Amino acid sequence: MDYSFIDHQVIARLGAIPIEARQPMLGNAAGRHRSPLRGSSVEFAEYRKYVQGDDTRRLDWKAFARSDRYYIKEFEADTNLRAYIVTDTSGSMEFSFESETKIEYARKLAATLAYLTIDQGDATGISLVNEKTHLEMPPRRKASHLQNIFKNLHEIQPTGETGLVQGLHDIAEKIGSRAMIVIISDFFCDLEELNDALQHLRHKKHDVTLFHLMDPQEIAFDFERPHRFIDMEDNTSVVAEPTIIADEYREAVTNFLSEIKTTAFDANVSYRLVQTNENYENVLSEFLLDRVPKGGKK
Amino acid sequence: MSFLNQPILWALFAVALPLIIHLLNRRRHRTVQWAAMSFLLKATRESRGKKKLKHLIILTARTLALAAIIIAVAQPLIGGFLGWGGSKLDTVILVLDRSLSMETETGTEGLSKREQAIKQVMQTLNEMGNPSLILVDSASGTLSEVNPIQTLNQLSLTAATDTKSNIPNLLEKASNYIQKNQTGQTEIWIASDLQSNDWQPESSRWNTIRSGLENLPQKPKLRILALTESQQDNASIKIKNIKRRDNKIILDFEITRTDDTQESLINVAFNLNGNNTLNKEYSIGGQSITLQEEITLPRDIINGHGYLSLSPDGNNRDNTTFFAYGEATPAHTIIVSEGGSSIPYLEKSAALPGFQHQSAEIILPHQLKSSILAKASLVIWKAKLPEPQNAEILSNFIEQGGSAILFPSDEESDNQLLGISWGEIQDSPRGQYFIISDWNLNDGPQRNYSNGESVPMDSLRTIKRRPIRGDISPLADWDDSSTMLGRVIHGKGSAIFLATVPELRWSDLEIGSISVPIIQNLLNLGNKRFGSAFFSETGRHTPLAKQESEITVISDNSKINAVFDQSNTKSTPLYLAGIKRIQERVIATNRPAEEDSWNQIDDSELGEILQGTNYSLFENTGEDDSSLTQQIWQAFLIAALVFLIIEAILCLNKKSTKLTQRTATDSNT
Repeated sequence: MDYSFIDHQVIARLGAIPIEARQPMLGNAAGRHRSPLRGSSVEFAEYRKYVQGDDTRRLDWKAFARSDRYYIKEFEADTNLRAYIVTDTSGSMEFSFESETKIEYARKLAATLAYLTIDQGDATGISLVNEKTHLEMPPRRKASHLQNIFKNLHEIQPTGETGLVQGLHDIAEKIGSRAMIVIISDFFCDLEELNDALQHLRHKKHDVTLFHLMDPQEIAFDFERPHRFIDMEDNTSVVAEPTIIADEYREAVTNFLSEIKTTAFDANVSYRLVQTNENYENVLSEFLLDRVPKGGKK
Repeated sequence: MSFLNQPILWALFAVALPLIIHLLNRRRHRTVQWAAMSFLLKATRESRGKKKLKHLIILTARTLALAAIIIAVAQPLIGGFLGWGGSKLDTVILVLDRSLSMETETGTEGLSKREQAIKQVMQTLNEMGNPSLILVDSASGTLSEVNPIQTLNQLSLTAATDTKSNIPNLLEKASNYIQKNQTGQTEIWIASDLQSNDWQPESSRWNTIRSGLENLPQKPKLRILALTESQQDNASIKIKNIKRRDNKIILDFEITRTDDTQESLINVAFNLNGNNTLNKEYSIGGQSITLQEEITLPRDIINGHGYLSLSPDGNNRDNTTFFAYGEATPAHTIIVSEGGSSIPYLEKSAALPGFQHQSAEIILPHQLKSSILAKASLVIWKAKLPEPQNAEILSNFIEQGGSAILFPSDEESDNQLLGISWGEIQDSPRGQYFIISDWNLNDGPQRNYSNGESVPMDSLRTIKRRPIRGDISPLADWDDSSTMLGRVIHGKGSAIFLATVPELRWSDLEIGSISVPIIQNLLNLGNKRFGSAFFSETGRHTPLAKQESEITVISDNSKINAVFDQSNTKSTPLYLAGIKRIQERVIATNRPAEEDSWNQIDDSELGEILQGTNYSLFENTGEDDSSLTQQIWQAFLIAALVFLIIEAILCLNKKSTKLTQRTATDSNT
């Protein structure tokens, strides 16, 4: 089945850029990503004293001959990457003014990222959260898993208030080993609570990235006539004169963007504000290139 | 403020448009699903105060700009004369006061009040788009259309005159004109100095005028351009009396001045038959002084004329007074008596020995006829008051300018003359007299001589008197404040009632030098009605001339006085003082005596006489010669521009804020 949010040409172009983890990963299979554990790759790591129970095959006899002590020679271990793509499916994600809706944009980002990760042999899972539901697909490396991801992304029906914070806490608790977590949301939630959730994820040593989706009109607030604004999450409404409140609105948005950026910085997570009129290929391209280690793989 | 295109002002309702659009916009809002609701709610909470005020200012600026543009298109006029609520006029009826007092110089340009009024009216009418102008001038009293309006100041109908005005009469004509003609939107403008005698506030005619204006289909607005600047440094001269005695004429003349604070010397030039005969300076201390000069006439000339003139001052038209003379007019007295010892004395008093032109005739009351009185100057009535038939003959005589003096009779009678009757005879207490304690020194037959000496009224000893009953103006009072000598003015003449008789059983009136001056003064006064063949009043038609072309001007102000601009349009001779020849007669016409009164009606009097009419008063004190109105549509356009700029600045400010915010947002990302 073909999905509109999958553009194979974009995937082909982006496929040339590897998805790199910014920190050692704990995968369940050998892969191209650095592991925090010592393993059997060719990359020397360190010497350590032999303790009882160590595999005697890993003793460095040359070192024993030189120092008359038993040393174990350790090497770096490579493992695969496990990616979690968390997508906010609250009612506010359905908003669009003149460009596509935020959820459509989120589908493209999530699907493309999922494709790229599985394509390079890593495991990808998705998590779709809102106030009431929390659909979760654990990371898998199989191509058939990708079809399930696409299917679930395709069936998203944004509704209700956001349940992102709680969703993130749940993910932090569930995922035991280190993983790359990509969060796609408009983050219309309490920023202090979000900060707690991000800290929780960081505490679990996950590599977290935030894609902050905003409609350009949500930032510019460029209305001339009076409007009745209906809240997409709880259906309450307000009649307002945009010409009067525009400045205050923009100031509130600016403060919000500044605060969320600070929150991300404090939690040591990557942050990218994405306006839905931007080309998602450029957004992903920047994201991938930014993660490529400078000077080659360590 | 008034408007040339007042109907445009209906468009002022359009100023509600921005407000209506605003309200409609609020009602016809669009509905959008919105995600970032928390920011919206926060912004709504915070956008009170300054923002609302700014929005209100923008809305107000738009409204005011629209209003200013509409008002500018309506071509507003400002100026106190038109006041508020004026509109485009179809017709203006200009009531122009051309009386002599309007010739007082005013302002800095040396224009007379009349010239200034005409200039201002022309400019104002020009500003108002030249509506139809109907002129009612006070001299001719006729209505004439002025077309084009620019010729208003060149018409003889607006030129200077030496006449008086009758404003009530002119207003009545204006009212009648509006009644009879389709004049459309009409206003009556009155240009006057509000001189009291011209406006006649006591006249009962005002009732008719008020009801006439009230009943017009379209009640016209009355606008009064009052040129009330007080006269500065003005003196006037007028001949009060002229007597011919053989080859001499005796001139009684009065000099009046506005400044009565300090004594000054006033030069009077005497001119006789075109020759200056005398220049004399008189010292004047009060406001007015009456003087007498005797001029010797050339022997071989029986008829002649002349004038007395003062130096130029604030109003040059009252600086000259003209006279003409001819043969001495006989002064005839009719003594009506039923007998008595006083008759010879009265006869001598009326026909003084040596005064050949004076004569007296004694008749009984029943002999009185109109024909007998036709040649008389004075009637001395020493009998019971006339029966009704004789009272009518005597009243007519007085009305036509004759003088009469009435003494009480011993006989009782219920008869009255001019509402006056005699009371009961009163005798003084034994050993005492009725004494005169107070009398008028300036007015009446008992007034002081022209040389200032007084008639010794207080020397009169009276033992019998009859009180004067009725409404009479007292001229001399007994010491108990009852009237000894009183006057009733009737028409052109007057009747004097004297409460005692020149007989010794009544008083010593025949001994003292009291009755002779009284009778001689009355005789001179009565004789003026014959002397009127030589004198006339400007503006009054003389029966001698049926057409103006029959009048030849021998001398007038413009001929004898260089200060008058010869190039100015002149009024017809009828309205100018001077010496004129009509057929074979030479007549001196002088300004009406009323024009020497500088009393002006005040606001309350004006409010009273124009009560109920739609009038407005604009007092022009002479400091500004410009138009009575000024177009100020440019100011409103500028105001509209300012309002639009304010609106734009406030709106632009909003846009620039938005850009700033956008830039800030971009930098954050």
